[in-house]
Amino acid sequence: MREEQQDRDGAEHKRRADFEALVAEQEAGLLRYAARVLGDGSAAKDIVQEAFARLFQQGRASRTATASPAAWLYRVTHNLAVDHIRRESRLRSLHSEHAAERQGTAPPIQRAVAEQRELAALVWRHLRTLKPREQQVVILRVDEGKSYREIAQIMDLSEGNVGFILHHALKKLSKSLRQAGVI
Amino acid sequence: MKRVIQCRNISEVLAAYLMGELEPARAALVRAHLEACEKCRVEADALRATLDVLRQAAQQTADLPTHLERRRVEEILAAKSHPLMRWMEQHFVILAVIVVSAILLNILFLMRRRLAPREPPDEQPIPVQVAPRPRGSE
Repeated sequence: MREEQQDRDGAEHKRRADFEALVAEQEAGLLRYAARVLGDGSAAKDIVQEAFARLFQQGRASRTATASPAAWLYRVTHNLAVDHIRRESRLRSLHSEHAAERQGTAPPIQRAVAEQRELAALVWRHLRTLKPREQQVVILRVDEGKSYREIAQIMDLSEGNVGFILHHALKKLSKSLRQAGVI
Repeated sequence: MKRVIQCRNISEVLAAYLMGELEPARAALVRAHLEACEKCRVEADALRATLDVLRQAAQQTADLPTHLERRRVEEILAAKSHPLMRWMEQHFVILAVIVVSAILLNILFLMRRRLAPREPPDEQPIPVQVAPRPRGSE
């Protein structure tokens, strides 16, 4: 009986250690992704914590979670981020309108003189005027370096849909950045 | 007309071409078209410039969180390590037997109630009211 208990404790200890290793391996990418999508580092931490908690609590019941925990985590983080954006959508659209007004009145920004950091902030601001799904495909592809197949798996889309959304997102972004004098 | 259709087809795969997602044969077709068509080349240049600034922006990671605080990880582990959760996970067979037994007992109880013979309702005497006789009728 005591041996059985020791085995259980050992298994539990190993599970915790494995989980902590998974957190260390995946947290940076997930946080970066969530923060880019939400534009809010604190909300990104809440969402990534919730995704890890779900994996830890329910993961073993899900075949996809055990087969590919990284893709599962991105998918849950993505869904939680979408829910968060929906909750915040009214504020977000107001923010976008104000941002668009500011862009309309500001003089074109020349790449040569713009600081890299300002340029990055400007690019992400333009990106956030796109639809949430478009933003997420662009971030997963360009920032996270995911393949079309991986993005399709995370977002529950076909690879063709990923290409279609990405194409239109880049065209919109290209137009918006050109009008602002960024490219 | 043929050229217009071809340009539209090329435009739809330009992003995939620029990101190296096209098969070599299709990529060669797009490359050949871009050499011949200035309109599509301009579009490709704009998309390439957009991808370039996006990649530059992606290099700026200073403001992004890089890890979860230890407190947050402990919260996740603590939620999982609740004694009741642990017992349920370790004894899920016993738990399943208890749940199934409870459901079966419930069904048996309901069936017994439904199949039990019903007693006829007691016959109650109907109260008879006698109307008072009118005066002078005797």
